[in-house]
Amino acid sequence: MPDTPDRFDEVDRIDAYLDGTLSEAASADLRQWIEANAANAQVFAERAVLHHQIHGIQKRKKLESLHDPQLVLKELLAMEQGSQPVSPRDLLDDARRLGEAAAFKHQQDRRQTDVVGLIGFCLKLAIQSRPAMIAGVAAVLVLTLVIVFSSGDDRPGPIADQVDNNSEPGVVGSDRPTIDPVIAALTAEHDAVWDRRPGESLSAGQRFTLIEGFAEVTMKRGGVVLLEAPCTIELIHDNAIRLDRGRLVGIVESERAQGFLVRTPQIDVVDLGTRFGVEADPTSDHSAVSVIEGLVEVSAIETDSGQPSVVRLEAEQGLLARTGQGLAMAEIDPMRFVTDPAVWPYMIKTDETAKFLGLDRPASLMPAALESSERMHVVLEQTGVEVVKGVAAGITKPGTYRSFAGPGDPVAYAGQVDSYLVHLDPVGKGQSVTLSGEFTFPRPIVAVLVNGRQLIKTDALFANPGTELYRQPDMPFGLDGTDITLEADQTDELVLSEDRRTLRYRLFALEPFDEFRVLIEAADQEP
Amino acid sequence: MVFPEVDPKREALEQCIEKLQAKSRRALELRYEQDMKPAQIAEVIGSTPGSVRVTLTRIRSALSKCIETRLGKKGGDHA
Repeated sequence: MPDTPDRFDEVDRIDAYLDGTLSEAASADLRQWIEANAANAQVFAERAVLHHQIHGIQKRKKLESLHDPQLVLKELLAMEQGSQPVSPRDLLDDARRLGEAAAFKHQQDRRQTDVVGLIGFCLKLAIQSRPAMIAGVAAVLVLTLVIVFSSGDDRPGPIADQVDNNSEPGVVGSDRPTIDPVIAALTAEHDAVWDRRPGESLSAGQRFTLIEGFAEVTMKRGGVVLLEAPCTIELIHDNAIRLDRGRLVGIVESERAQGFLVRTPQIDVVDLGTRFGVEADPTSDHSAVSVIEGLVEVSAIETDSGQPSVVRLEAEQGLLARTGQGLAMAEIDPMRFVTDPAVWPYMIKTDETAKFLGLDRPASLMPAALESSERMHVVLEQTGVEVVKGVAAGITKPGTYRSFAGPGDPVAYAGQVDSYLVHLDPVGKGQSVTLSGEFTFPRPIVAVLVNGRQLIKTDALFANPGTELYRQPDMPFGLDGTDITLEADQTDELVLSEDRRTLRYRLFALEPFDEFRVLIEAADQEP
Repeated sequence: MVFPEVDPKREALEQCIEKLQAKSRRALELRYEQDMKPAQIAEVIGSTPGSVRVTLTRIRSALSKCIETRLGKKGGDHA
């Protein structure tokens, strides 16, 4: 389209119309001009889309900045006090800078589909803004659509998609805020159960709950969140979400996604290029943050003093925030957060008495190598191992077990298993500890190997070759059954649930440590 | 559940807005974020409604040209 003086006049007039400053008479003239030919209608549509898109972008920026209403008000006042008229020289400078804009990354020319979108938008805008203009625009649409569709490209364009999804019948006026409807995508999941129907798009303002399983949501700006059930989130915009309850991991690797915001009832966490975990617990009214890599900025949404409190956290730092109490640095175990989707199929649910190491396999499980008097460690040893004949285990059926001696019963399961080693080594030499709790495995438990003999006999099959194990037959490292030398509360007890997925335990760990191996049905059964 | 394709024009527009000088961006903010009419903007920035209208039109035209330039470069880069 040539930049003739006439066109500049019409662009001025279109802008005035879109700004709501064109008189009725001038609007009628504009309508006649649009009716004159398809090219004019396209000029109008292009300008209207530009207006529409600027509006959408600026509105999104406004939403992004609404962390604190008081700050927004201050900013507006500052703008008013410091404002100066925009000079033509500034505009010329802008034009020069715009002309030096960097090259684009994308290569597909979507001109034709954009035209479809432009026309759709043009018609919708006219319908919403000035009903009198409908007839004029519609008249030239027929001709234009024939031109467009005769080119063989009849795909709906992205702009048309936006307009369709933003459609609000009855809304009048061209200044209605518009935000891209789809702002995120579900990019991975494992055993995920949602409170939403499959196929629903992830749009701004949507709130949903992951009831079971794991999911990865990728925001339009490139930020990634790994969700662990149960959790409830709300999509704020394409670079921000709200976490109402549960845990998530935020991952920002692209420059475009920097500034990714996770909001909880207590805090705003702004990612400055990193990997971090956030937890929100409405029952105890607190939020926790743990930085795994990089840097985040955390600000309290409100404190007793009414002033926001802001803290920058580096890797391995964490904090706790309670409503109205500001921020407090705290040791938050990053292992609480699932940072790698590869571990999803093997995740076990534990309470505070157990720590699952995920895909990390320690080099040594010798005495004192992995000590804790507060919780046991659970190591994923191997995955997809075929169970061979002759494997015997102390536990193969649901029930309560207090006796762990003997060779065990043959394992009847035929198939592949994933193996876990549970290890409880109290801090200090000669110390003992009693822990009670439970963990739930992702699939049914096939067998539990409970004493030194069973463990040694199955190490070759199921142990991780890269982990040094303590195997001294004269020092019992399996579970201790009922013994006349032990008090009643000093014996070990395991309870395998009826669904064979949950193992409840009471362990009394003595020198050197307690250890047992759990075999569960493999995540992937290979033929 | 997948994203619609990224609209290169919209993406270009976002980048072009970032290239604007602060005063031009402020004009856009007042117009589109604050939903002010040119007369209201004129009051805020101490100008006249007519001047604001011209300013906004120039900004939009500059953005339109910027989009074309960027889309043109994109095509050339991959030719």
